[in-house]
Amino acid sequence: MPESNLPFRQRLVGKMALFGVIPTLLLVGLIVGINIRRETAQAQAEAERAVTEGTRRVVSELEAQSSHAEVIASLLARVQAEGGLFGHRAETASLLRAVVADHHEIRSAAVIYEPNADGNDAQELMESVVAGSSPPVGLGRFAIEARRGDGSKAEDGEPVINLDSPAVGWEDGYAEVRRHAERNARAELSMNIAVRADGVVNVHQVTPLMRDGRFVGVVQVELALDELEAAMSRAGERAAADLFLSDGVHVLTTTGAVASDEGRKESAVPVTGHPLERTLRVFLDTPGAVRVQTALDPITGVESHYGITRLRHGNWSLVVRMPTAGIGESMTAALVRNVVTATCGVAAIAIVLIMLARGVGRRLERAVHAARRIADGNLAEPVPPSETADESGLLLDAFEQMTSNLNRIVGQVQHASIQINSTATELAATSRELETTATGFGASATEVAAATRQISTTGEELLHTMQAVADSAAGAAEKAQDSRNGLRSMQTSVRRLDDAAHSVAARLSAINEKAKGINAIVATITKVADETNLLSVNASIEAEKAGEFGLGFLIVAREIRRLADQTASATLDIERMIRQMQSAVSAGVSEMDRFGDSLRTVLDDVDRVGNRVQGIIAHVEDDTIRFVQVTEGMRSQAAGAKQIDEAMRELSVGARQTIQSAGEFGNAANDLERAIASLKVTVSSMRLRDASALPRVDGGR
Amino acid sequence: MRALLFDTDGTDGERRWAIACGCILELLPVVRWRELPDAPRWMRGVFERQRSLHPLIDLSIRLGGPPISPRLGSRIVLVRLAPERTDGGLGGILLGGVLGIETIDWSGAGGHAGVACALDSPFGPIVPHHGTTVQLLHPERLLVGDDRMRLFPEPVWESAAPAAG
Repeated sequence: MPESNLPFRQRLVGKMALFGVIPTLLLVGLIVGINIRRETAQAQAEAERAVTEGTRRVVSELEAQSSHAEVIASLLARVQAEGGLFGHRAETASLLRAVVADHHEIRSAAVIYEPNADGNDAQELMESVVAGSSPPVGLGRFAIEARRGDGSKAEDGEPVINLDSPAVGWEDGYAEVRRHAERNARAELSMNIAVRADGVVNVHQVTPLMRDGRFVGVVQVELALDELEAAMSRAGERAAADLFLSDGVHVLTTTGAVASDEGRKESAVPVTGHPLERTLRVFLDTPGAVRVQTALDPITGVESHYGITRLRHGNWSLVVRMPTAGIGESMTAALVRNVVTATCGVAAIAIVLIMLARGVGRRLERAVHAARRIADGNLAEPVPPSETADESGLLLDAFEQMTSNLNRIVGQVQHASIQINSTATELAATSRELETTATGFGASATEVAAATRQISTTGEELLHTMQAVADSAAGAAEKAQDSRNGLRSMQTSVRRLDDAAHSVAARLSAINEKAKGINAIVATITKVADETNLLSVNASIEAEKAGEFGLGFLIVAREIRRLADQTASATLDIERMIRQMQSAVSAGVSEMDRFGDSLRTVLDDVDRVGNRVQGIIAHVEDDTIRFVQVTEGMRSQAAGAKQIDEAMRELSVGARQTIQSAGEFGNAANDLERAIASLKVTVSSMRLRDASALPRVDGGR
Repeated sequence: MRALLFDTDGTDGERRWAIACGCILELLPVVRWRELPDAPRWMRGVFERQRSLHPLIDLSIRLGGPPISPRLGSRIVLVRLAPERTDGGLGGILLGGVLGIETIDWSGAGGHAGVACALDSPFGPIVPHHGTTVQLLHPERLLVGDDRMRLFPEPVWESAAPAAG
C-alpha cells in the first residue's frame, strides 16, 4: 500500500475533518430544513387563524349593528300599523327625530306612505298651497324622514309629498319590497338595501308597512356607513378588509385602494368592473362558514389570504384580505437564524475534532513506530508510555503489554522448540516400535477370529438345545397349572362334603333329641301299662274273692291285663327300637364326626399337595424364565461371537493400516524434526529484552 | 285254686311262687320304704299305706337269695302276716315280678308235698307248671318266733295276755 507524502498527523486530521465535519454539516442542514419547514407551516396556520379570527370579529360587530337597525325598523313598523300612529304625520315625524337622536349609529329614519294611503295627501297639498310654499311636483308618495348630519333636507321631519323618489335613491329596492309584501300579504320582510347616492353608499334596513293585508308603505332605517368602516378597521389591523353586498352590486372597502371613475377615492364602488370582480364572484358564490383561501390579488399583484363568510342579517358577505408577504419575511428571518446557529455549531465541532485529532495522531504515530519495530523482530526496545488515559493511550499501553508478552512467548517458543525436537526423535522411534507391535497384533487377531467363529458355531447349537428345554419347561408349567386347577376343584368338593357332613350330623343330633322325647313318651306309656296291669291283677284278685259274682269282672280284668301286657310288650318293642335307633343315630353321629375328621384331613392333604404343586409351578415357571433368559443369553452370546469375529476381522485390517500409519508417522516425525530446526533458526533471529529471563534449556533433549 | 304267680328276682326263672288270691289284700306298686336298724336282712323296712306303716319282707333274701332290685314290673303284695291280730297284721312282700293269676291244682299228679309239709311251714306244695315248677307260699306263716314277735309285738302281747290271763 503506497504511503502518502503528508505526515501521519496531518493525514489523520484531514480524515477526521472529512468524516466528522461533512456528516455534521449534512445533519445540521437536515435539521435546519426540517425546522424551517415546520416554522413555515406554523406561520401559515397562524396567518390563516388570524384571518379567521379577524373575520369572525368583524362579522360579529356588523351583525350586531344590522340586528339593531332591523329591530328599530320593525318596532317603527309595528307602531305605525298596530300602534295607531299611521296617518298621524306630525307625531310620526317627532318619533323619527327621537329615534335618530337616541341612536348614534342610525344616520336616518323614514316612513313612506303609498300615495294617499292615509287619505291626507289632499289636505297636505292644500295646506302647502295656503301656506304659500312651493307645491310638490305632481303626485307621489308621502315620505317623512329624520336625518343626522348635514341637514340638507327634511332633517327636521317635514313631509315631502309628490316624490317619486324619497330622495334616497333606492327606487329599485322599494319596488322589490313592495312586490314581495303584496305577494305574501305580510309585513315580516326585512331587507338590507344599499343605495348609492352622490358617490356614497347608504345601507338601508327596510320593513314593509301593512294594514288590513294591504301594502301601505315602508319604514326605513339607514345605518351609518362610517360605523361599518370603523368596525372593519378595528377588525383588520393588519389586513385590508372589504365588505360586499350580497347581490354583488357594491363594494365597501376600508383601504381606499379602489378609485372611482372620477379619480377620487370612494369607500363604496360597484362590483361590476371592479378589479376584484372575478375573485369576489368566486367567493360570493360559495356560501358557508368562515373559509380561508389563498389567491393572487389582481390589484397589488401579491399573493394574499382571503377570509370569507356570510352575515346572517341583510345577506352581506365579508371578505378579509391579508398579503402573505408577512409570512415570507418571518420565514426568511427564521432561515437566517437557523443557518447562523448551525454554522457556529459546525465550526465549534470542527475545532474540537481537529484538537482531538492532533493529540490522537501523535499517540497513534508512536504506536505505529512500535508496531514496525515488532514487525522487524525487535522486541528489546520498550514502547514509550502514554501521558493520557484515553483510547490512544490505552492502545500504547496495549502495545507495551503486547511487546512484553511477545518477549515471553518467543522465549517459551525457543524452549519448546528444543523439547519438541526431542519429542519428535522419540516419536520416530516409537513409530518403529508401533509398526512391529501392530504386525504381531495382526497375527493374534487372525487367531482370535478363528476361535471366535468356533465359539459362535457352538453357541448356535447350544441355543437350539436350550430352546427345546425351554419348550419342555413351558409344557411342564402348563401341566402343573392344570394340576393346580384340579386340586382347587377337589378342595372345593371336599369343603362341600365337609359342610354336608356337618349338616347330616346336626340332623342326626336332632333325630336323637326326638328319640329322647319318644323315650319319655314310651316311659309314660310303660308306666300306664304297668299301672293298668297292676289294676287288672288287683281286679282279678278281687274278682276271685267275689267268687261266682266276680266271674264277669274277672273276664274283664283278664282282658285288661292282657291288653296291658300287650301294651307293655309293644312298649318294650318301641323302647327297644328307639334304643336301637338312638344307638344307630349315635353311631351315625360318630361316623359323621369321623367322616368330617377324615374330610378335614383330606382337605389338609389337598391344601398341602396344592401348595406343593404351587411351589412346583413356581419353580417350573422360574425355570422357564431362566431357560428363556439362558436362551436369550445364548442368542446374544452367538450374536456377540459373530460381532467379535467381525470386529477381529476389522481389527486385522486396522492392524495392517496401523503398520502403514506407523510408517507414515515415522516420516512425519522426521519432517517435524526438520521443521523444528527451521523454527529454531527463525526464533534465534529475534532480539529479546533480557535473555536471562528466558527459561533455562538443558541439552538437546 | 286261683293263685297269684310271681318270681323273686324279676325274671321268668325256674323258681316260681304262688300266693292264693284269698290271702292277698292288694297288689301294690313298689313304693319307697324306710329301713329298720337291727332288723333281719330279709326285713327291708317299713312302708306307708293309707297312713299306716307296714313291714316289707324281701322274699328273695328270706329264701336265701340275693336282695331284689326293684324295677318297673316289681310289686308289693299286701297280705296278712299275722291274721290273729285284730288289725290283720298287714305286711308287704317284695316280689320280683308278677306272672299272672292262674288256677293251679296243688293236689294234682306229679306234685310234691315239699320238705316242709308241716302245718306251720310257709312253703307249700310244689307242682309242675309250664315246663317249670311253682311252689305255694303261705304268707301268714312267714313270720314265726322272735321275728313275729319283734314285728308285731303289741298285738301278740295283747292277744297273748288275755289268753294267758
